[in-house]
This record gives sequence, structure tokens and C-alpha cells, in this order.
Amino acid sequence: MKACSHISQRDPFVVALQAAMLLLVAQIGFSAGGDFHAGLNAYRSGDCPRAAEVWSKHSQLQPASGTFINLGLAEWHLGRRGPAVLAWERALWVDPFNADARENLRFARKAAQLEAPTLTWFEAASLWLPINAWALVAGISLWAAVAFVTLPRILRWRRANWQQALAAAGFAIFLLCLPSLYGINTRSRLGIVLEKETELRLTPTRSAQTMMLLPAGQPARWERARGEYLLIRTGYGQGWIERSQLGLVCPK
Amino acid sequence: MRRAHTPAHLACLALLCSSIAICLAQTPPPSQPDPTVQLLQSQPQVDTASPVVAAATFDPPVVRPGGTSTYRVTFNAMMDSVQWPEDLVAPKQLELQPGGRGQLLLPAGASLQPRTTFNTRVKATNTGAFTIPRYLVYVYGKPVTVPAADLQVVEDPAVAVPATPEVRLSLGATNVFVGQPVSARVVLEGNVNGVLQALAQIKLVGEGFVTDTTFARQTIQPMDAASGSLPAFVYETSLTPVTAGVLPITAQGFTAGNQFVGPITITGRATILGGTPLYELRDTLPVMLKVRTIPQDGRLPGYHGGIGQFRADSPALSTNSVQVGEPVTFSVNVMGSGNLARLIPPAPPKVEGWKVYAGKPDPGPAQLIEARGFITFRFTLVPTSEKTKATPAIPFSYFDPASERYVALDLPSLPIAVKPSAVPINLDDFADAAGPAVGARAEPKLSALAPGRGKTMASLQPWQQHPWFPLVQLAPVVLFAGLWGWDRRRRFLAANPEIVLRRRARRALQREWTAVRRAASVGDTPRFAAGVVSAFRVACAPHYPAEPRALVSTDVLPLLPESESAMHTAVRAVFAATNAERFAASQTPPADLLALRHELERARTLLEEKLR
Repeated sequence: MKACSHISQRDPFVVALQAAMLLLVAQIGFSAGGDFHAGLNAYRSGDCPRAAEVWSKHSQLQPASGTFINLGLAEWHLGRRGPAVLAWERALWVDPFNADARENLRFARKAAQLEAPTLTWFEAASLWLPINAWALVAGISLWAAVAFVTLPRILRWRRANWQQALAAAGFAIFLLCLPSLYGINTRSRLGIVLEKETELRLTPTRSAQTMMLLPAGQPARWERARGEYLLIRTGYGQGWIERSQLGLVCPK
Repeated sequence: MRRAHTPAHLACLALLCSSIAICLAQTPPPSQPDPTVQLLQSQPQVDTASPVVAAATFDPPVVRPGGTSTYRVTFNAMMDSVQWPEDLVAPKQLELQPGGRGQLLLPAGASLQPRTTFNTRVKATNTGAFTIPRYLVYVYGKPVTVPAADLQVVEDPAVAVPATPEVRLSLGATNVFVGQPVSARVVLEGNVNGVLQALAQIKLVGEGFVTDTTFARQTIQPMDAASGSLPAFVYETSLTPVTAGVLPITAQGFTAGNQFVGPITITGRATILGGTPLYELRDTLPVMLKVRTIPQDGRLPGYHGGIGQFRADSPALSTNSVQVGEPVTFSVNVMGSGNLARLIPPAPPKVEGWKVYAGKPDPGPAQLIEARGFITFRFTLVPTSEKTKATPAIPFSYFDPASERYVALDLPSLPIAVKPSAVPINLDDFADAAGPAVGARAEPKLSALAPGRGKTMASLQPWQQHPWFPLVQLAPVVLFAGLWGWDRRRRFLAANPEIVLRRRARRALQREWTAVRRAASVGDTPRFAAGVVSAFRVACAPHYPAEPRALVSTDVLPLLPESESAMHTAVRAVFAATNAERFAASQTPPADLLALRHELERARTLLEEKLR
């Protein structure tokens, strides 16, 4: 009763705004869950194109590891290897401990004779935690260390050994997180070639010389962009491809 | 003028002469010709230099309406050099369908002459005389004229044209599974007079299957025909489909007269055509083979691609008594129909007490296995414990296309006596014998559907790449700065408590004066007077300092300007009225106190300014 009276005393506009926000959040959550199960039903009834379409839209609305795994399965059964590999890579991006995504990628790369992305040591280290956990740990450790150094001075507390130790530990954790944060940044430039026999061009022009044909599902690193073309680096070499032919694991 | 020879010139000349002498002395003997080149040179050369001539005929040249004839074009050139047109120009009344095409190398003196034939199946529905006109075909990059050919389609031919014996293809089964061997039979019957000829270079044409020529055999045997029993040339082989779907398969071969290639079995009476063979390319109508994939459901352990109906003989051991670490051979014969010659031993099981090494395929050739009717699997077993009393059962299964299900044909275990080893052995030497070791990575396979959404993110972009991330990192800085400022202010106020007192007094004055205004607005003189007194006391208390309730009008008046006499009078009047009300209960404050409101308001403003 008290709570009701408290609400009733509030500004009606604020109350209406809060209610609308709650409804919107609930609607998004309900819609996402409904779409996911609609995709499951379509897939189980053999309608893979419909399932892929539903999960693709759903993954844009709310990226989720399960959605990406299922999207990859639907794409794989449709014979679209590039989008399938991209979906599973995104599932690993969301959840680096997802065994299904890892196994599916192994299967796809063995079946289609594809390369796996070559990761540097700091990129491999960035797989030890979810991508946003590194930023969280780094932020907390840094500012905790700063706090333990500065707050005793600010608040004129007596300096204690435990404060120094915690500050040192915080700085150490922060420094250990830096390579992984850099690794996440470089991994975000990883992409997957979507179409089979994608032409790797010497120059970013339509009439450029074709250096080689890349298979669908081939990993590549985005170096820079020029117009409608991207300069990518693959295990086969460096060259230009059209923007629409490369799907980034972390879309910009 | 003569040039004098210097010693340097002479030395160079001598060096040159000696070099030439050394080179001449070291000239290698003529090299031995390469045996491969010699072998190639000994073979008759293929004649590609002769002028290319094309010949075109209809076989037969006269047919009834609805009958079929073969339009046959022959070149004396290699097949790859002929740019055969995809579409032939022909009268609309003729239905053309591409047929076989093949190449033969015929001895012509010291060389071999190529002969390439292109067949087109022609069906005529209307009567009349039809001509496929002459046209150009490029051979070896040069144009060659293919002459015109005539076909007569008549209801009742004036001259009886003997029917050309057809080549027929029949398959042992037309609804099979991928990997299931299918027997194929190509038959060329003799003519009505019982004269027949052989076929050479027979092959099955189509996609999605593999022809197994190791099982090919040819016979001449009597066959029942409409005109009675006629001898026929029969060629039997086997094919294995490798892709699912409906596969059109045709057979083709060159008529070779009495020129047989390889052994042939002749049964019954037959008259074989003599003379020079014509080497005409004959082909069959396509036969459709429906191929399905083997179902994955119900697959049993030990399945390694066996399709057919098999049974296993009693297995046998090389010995019935061994020591730990001593190998023993387990062998079993498998017989039946299907891809017997291609059967692969099942994967060795991994059981406690035994190391089972993968079975080796039967070393015998496929023809021998087919001829003897069984294949032998041999496994090498090594006991690793003396407690074992029998060999392990080895899972084995095959797919039965008749019942369309997998059938278990496990190889049974056999009793054996295992004794302790006389010498110490290292059992680790037998590691990896039975498949991958524990902990090795299994073959990858696609996962099942994820039942739920799993872990979610608001965006695939990591937090550190969002524009708000640096702003969030500024929050602790702001917090620390705020803490620092708060602490500094706290210490300053602790050192200057009058600031706090004045601030509190100012707030209390504002609060009291609000009540005063409210009382004045409703004409409540007692509350107005009490409020003014209370407000003035609160405003003046920090200046002494003193308890506000202890102050009287004489404490307030020194804080007001002496020149404001009206203000002083008003303050005194209010305090007097309040005191009168407080100490003489019957007396009420005069109503004209409200008229002093303006002066009292000014006094309040002055006191509030003094508190700042």
C-alpha cells in the first residue's frame, strides 16, 4: 500500500515512461525467445532456409551462442559453408568455452579442407575469458589499484602493508589483462570468406588481376578498406575482395 | 708492320691449345639410348599426318515410320582432335539423340591409323527421303567436310533390308544402394542366319559409377529370340554406383568380326563372321539405374561398407595356448554375395586383457576372391593378462540391400589358454594397437541443435570498442575527485564551525519565515508574531553565539542599523507582543502587528545578509 501510494505520488509521465520501457524490454525478450523456437520448429520440419532466416534475424537482435550454433547448422545443411563457419566463429566469440561450436568448426574445416585462423599468443590468451570479462577485470583491477594507492592519501589514513599489496596485485592483474585486450581487438578484425571461389584481387578495382580464388569459409584478417573493397590477409597471401564477400566475426 | 709476339700472347695461345686438347680427350662416349624412349620408338606410330577423311552413313539406310536408325560419322583422326558440333543440322522430321562416341587404333602397314566414330540415334516418324546435308567439322584445327547422308523412311520397302543386330544392355538390378555392386550384361545377337561377330573395346558410359573390369568375362552362347535360338556374344562385367540418384547408363563397343580380345567361352553352335572386321561403333539405349544412399539409422558396430548377404565360417586360431605378450592369429572366412572382394575387416575392438591389431585385407586378387567365393580376415591378437580365457568377440556387420537393414555378423570369441610370460615384457609396447589411445581426439562431427539461446551479449562489439567505454573509465576519477573534495571541505568546516552555524541559521530563518508569511496571509497575528520572533532569534544566535531561545529584542536590535528607527520599533513591538502573550495569557497580540510586516521583512533581509 505504501509502495502504491509512493508510485501514485510520482510524476505520471515518468511512470508511463518506465512502464513503456518495461514493456519494450519484455517484448524484445519474448520476441527473441519466440523467434528462436520458431527456427527450431522450421529446422525440425526440414525447412532449413526458413530456419536460417529466422535465426539470422534473431542473432542480429540479440547475439547468443545457441542461436549462432543453430544458424551454422542450418547454413551448413543448405550448402553455404562460408556463412556456417562464420556463425560458429561468432558462437565462439560470444562463448569461448562452447564445445559444440568448437567441434562444428573442426568438422567443417576437416570436411571442406579449410584452414583455421592462425592466432597470435595474445589472441590465444584472449580466449581464456569471455571478451567483455577482460575489460571488466582490467577496469576493476586498475581502479582498485589506483584506489589503494590514492585513497589513503586523500582520506589521510595510515598506510598499511595490505593496501600496498592489494595495489600491487591490482596493477599486476591489469598488466596481465592488457595483452588479452589487445588480442580481442585484433581478433575483432578476423573475418570469414562467405562465397566460394572468391577472387582475391591485386588492386581494389573491378578489372583487377585475380591472384587466386579463395574457398568459402577461408579465414582472413581485415587490414583496411577502400571504397567497396577490403584489403585482407589470408594464409594464401594478401589482396582485395569485395566487402560483401567477407563476413567479420565482430561486425563493425 | 709486323707485331711482335709477347710472352703473354704465347702463354695464352698455349693455354687455348691445351684446353682444346683436354676437351677433345674428354669427349664422352655416345650415350646409351633411354630404354623408355627405345620402347616408345619401337611402337608403331599413330598416323596423324594423312589427310583426314570423314564418312557419314545411316545404319540401316531404310527404316519404317517410327523406326530408329544410327547416323554414324567416322574420321581417320584422333577423337580429341575432332571438334564435334553439339547440334547437328537435320530435317525437322528426324528426332536426333546423341549416341556413343569412341576411338580405335587400327594397324595400317607400319603405323596405326586412328578411327573415331560419332553415333547419333535418329528416329523418323514420317515417310519420305531425308538428308542430313554436308557440313564442316574442324579436325586438327582444319576444316573437314562431312558428306551428306540419306535416310529413306518407307511404309513397305521394295527391297528387304536386313535388320542390323542391336546391342543390348541389361543390369542385374536397377534399384540399388551406393556401393552395392551391380552386374552388367552387354549382348550382341547374331543375325537371322546365325552369323555373329565379336565386340571390342566394350565400355559402360555414364557418370556416378565405377566399372570393375577385373570381373569382366565374354562368352558366346545361344539365346532365345523371336526367330528361334540364335547365338549371341555376351560381355559381363560389374559396376559399383558411387553417387545417389537416377543414373543413365549406356554401353558401346566396336564390331570386331572374329577378332577376339582375351579369353572367351563358346557354348553351342555359332558361325562367326570372317573377313576384315568393319569396326562399327554400336551403342545401346540408356538403362536407368536408381541409386539410394545407405540409411544411417540402425547402423551396427563393426560396419565397414559391406553390402550384400554374407555369412562367416567358423573362426580359427593359430594356436590355443599362448603366453602373455605372444601374438596369436585369429582368422575367419566370410562368404556370400555382394562386394565380397572389396570387404574390409572390421575395426579391432578395444578390450581389457587383449591388444587387437587391425585386420589385414585379404592379399588375394579380386578375381581369385570372387572365384573361390570367400574372403579371409586375419587379426593379430596379443594377450596382456594371463587371466583371459577367451579371445574377444569382434563386432562386424553388413548392410543387406534386400531387407534394407543392417545385419550383425559378429566374429565370435574362441577359448584360449594364456600363461604368464616366461620373460618380463613391457606391455606399453602394445600401445595404440586397438585404435586411438585414451585421450586422443575423436573424429569431429556436427553437434545437435542447441535447445536454448545459451550465453547472450547485447552486441558482438567488445566493450572497449564502444564510445561509452572511456567515459565509464572516467567515473572512478570523478569519484576520487569527489572524495578528495568532500574530505577537504569536511576538514575546512571542522576548522571553521561558524560557517556551519550560519548556514544552519540561514536555513532555519528561511523555514521560519515561510511560516510567517503563511500566517500573515491568513491574518493569524499570534502565529505571525511568534514566527517573527523565532526567526529573528535563529538569525541572531550565530553572532553571539547563544542559544536562540535565550535571545531577546535587545540582542536583536544591535544587529540592525541604528538609523532604521522604524525597523527597531517594529522589532520591539513584535517581541513585546510575544512576551505579553506568553506571560499574560489573557492578552492577545494587537491586530495591527501585521501592518509592520514590511519593516519586519526588511529586518529579515538584513539579518539574512549578515549570515552569509
